[in-house]
Amino acid sequence: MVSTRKPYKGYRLLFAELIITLVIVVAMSQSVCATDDSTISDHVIQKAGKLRLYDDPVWLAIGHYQQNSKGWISTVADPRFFLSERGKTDPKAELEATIRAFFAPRVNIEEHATSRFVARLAWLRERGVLSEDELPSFHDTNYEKLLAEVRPTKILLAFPSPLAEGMNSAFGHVFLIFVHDDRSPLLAPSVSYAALIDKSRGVLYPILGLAGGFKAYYTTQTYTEKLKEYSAIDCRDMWEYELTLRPDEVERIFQHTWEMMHIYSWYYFLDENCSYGVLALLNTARPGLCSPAIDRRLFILPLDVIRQVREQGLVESTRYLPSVLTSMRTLAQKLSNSELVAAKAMACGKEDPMQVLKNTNSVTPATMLDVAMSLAQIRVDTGEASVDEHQKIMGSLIRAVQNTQTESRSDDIPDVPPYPETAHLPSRLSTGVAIRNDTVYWLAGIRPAYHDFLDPSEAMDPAVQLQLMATEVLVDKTGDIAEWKLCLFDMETLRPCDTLYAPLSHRLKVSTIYRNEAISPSEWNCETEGGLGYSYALFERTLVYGMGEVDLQTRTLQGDTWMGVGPSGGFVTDLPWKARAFFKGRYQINSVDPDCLRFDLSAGYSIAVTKQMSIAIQYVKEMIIGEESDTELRLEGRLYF
Amino acid sequence: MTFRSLLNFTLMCFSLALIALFTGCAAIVSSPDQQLVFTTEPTKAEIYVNGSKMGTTPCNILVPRRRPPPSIILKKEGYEDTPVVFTSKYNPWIIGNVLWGYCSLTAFTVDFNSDKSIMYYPDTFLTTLSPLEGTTPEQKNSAEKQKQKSKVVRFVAANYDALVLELSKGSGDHLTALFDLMEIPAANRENAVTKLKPLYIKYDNPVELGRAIELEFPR
Repeated sequence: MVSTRKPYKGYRLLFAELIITLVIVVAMSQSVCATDDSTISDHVIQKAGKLRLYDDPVWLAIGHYQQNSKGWISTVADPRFFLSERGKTDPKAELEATIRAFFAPRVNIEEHATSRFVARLAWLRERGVLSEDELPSFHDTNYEKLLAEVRPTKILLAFPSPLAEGMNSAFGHVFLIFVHDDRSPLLAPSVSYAALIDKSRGVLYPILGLAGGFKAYYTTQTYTEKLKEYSAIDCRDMWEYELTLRPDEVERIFQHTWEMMHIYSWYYFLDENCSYGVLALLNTARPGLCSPAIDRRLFILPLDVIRQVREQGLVESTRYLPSVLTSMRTLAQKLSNSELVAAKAMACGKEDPMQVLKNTNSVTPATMLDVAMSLAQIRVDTGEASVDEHQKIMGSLIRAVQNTQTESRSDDIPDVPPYPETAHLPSRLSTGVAIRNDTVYWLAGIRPAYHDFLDPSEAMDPAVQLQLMATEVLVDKTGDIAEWKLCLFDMETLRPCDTLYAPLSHRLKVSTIYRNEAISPSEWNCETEGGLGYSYALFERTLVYGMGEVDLQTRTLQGDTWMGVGPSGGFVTDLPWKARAFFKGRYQINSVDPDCLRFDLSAGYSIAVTKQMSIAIQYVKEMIIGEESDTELRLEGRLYF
Repeated sequence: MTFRSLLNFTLMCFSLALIALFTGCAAIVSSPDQQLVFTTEPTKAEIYVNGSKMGTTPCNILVPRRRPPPSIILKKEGYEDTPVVFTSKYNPWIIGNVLWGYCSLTAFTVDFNSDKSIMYYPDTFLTTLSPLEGTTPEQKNSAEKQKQKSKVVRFVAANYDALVLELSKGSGDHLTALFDLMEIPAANRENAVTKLKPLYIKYDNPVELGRAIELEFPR
């Protein structure tokens, strides 16, 4: 027994020694490798340092660095984006850490810096500081698979037109599409920059949106899905701008988009928004595209991006994509009212299309069916019809189409409206005189964004008024401020109804006024107005509307409150010579004291002198029964910038 | 009561009725649950809402309106578990409460802070399940073919309305995209339109139509 155990102990010792030796050898070899990699990375860092690549505009662009009074700072907030602890504020440290990370042991291919930071790697190779021999590339990575599938050769910039239904869509939107020449853009992926909004924050939601309280990410979707969202569901017309970027520039944007996936920045509704995100991507292709002129603005709007790429000569071609609603309305112009009623009945499943076509003597039955199909699509996309119901309706419409002779379709395509970037600039300075109850004031105002009914309507939606943070002062002849007015928010959307489709029109305005007129005591007035109703198009260029309105005013210094309820109505119209006019009447009953009544009248006329300059005249009369009425006439010059 | 008082009273009642009509809409359209429609390619995937099995595709299920929204996962043997991604947005009808301001402050506050104000978007899902990656080249190739096939079905189903409209005219962006996806050469596309038309009559279910197109135009 003893003799058999001794050799066993000896083997065990030998085995242990062998293992230790192996561990030492492996550790030494690893150490040698690490030393080798570290030597190469130091060498590459030296080369990059000599070339001052950390100051290179492309490096600063792909790091999203911006200069402030203290130096550089990246707008990216996610720590995973930075490989150096000081990376957010130190482009040099980040560059060095990136090079070191490229030479780090290759354990998990997808998590390795060379697979994650593909734009950084490609740029270093392009600058000649990192060769394939020094750092061989991984193959068959997820990025390479994606690149092989998409093979982007050009980029489209898409602009869905504004939808004044809420702040997040009120100024429009921009996103990019990576297109391959041989494939339909509809199959291509799109990338947009959007906030991940947590609406559980309740009333804090808009404040957090303004103050950078939400994380924003680059997100991808196929262009088809985007088109469905904007064109069919939201009924927004779209514009596509093909950009004249070189293949290497397209590839860098694609690479950088990959780098930015799942990386967050803080979202600021006014400036670091979807437009900023798109500019930041374009900036990596051609640094300087995001010009300081645009950086200095309080707002960056989607149209600013379009103007910027247009000014930079980056637009190769432009394409207009009418929404399903616009296309339907164009087709509907060919139909009589009875045909429209029949088309609506078919789209709502109230009448069998075959039966309708049998009984009609219409010369445009195919157009009737197309209108019915478009309306059916709008109804299901807006939730007015269920999916099951919709499928049945579409089935019956398709069967009817097959039995219908197609008429000429030459005028089916909507006219192309003026390019949206040709509209007046969003910010406005105004100055002029106001005569209020026989007293003359000088007025001056500034409005950061965006458009009102008296601004030039060329390339703007004539049915939408949207103003943010518009402020105005009235100064009397002694030089004292008689009134200071801040309109925080003013949105009015007149969506015309017709036989086929009857959307609601609405308005909401929140403002505050400080009055310090010599003839009356000072007062601070906060006002919230809202309304819902319907509008109709008349004579092609005129919209008439009627609404039910509520107006709440609190005069804080006097401590009294007005809560008016009542109807309102008016019109907005385009006139010859680039002029516009509006009229509005409103009757209000104070719900606190029904004997207290108010009648408001307002009218305005403006004429565009140039695209960026207009002159406006407005008349306002407010009559409260039992009190003296207020009348104001004003003449102002407006400059857009 | 003078005529003027009567007129004022009538107008006020009319306006308040209008307000009640609009603000009441939130309550009318906002039940505690919302119906979501699920279709998968391939079908018969199990739908799990917060871990509980709620149905098998294709089906419609009622999902409670909640903040945060429930987690929904589609499961099928041989395929990767697929989470359903959707967002919640505020029910547009509660804008009635906002617009009508302080008259309906209570209604607005109640709706805004309750889960009734939530609307899930989108409410119709067509999800293509990804086959679990095989290990052999044959398995990988088969998975790749399945993915490509699913793309056609998914595209047809997601763009059914647009395709139908374009088919009646004989051309359009969506039709071009479909032909690109199916790799049909430009010269054969006119023929393809002719072949497609009867399929649209035969199948009014978008997913079935997608499958039929796949069979009609094998690659």
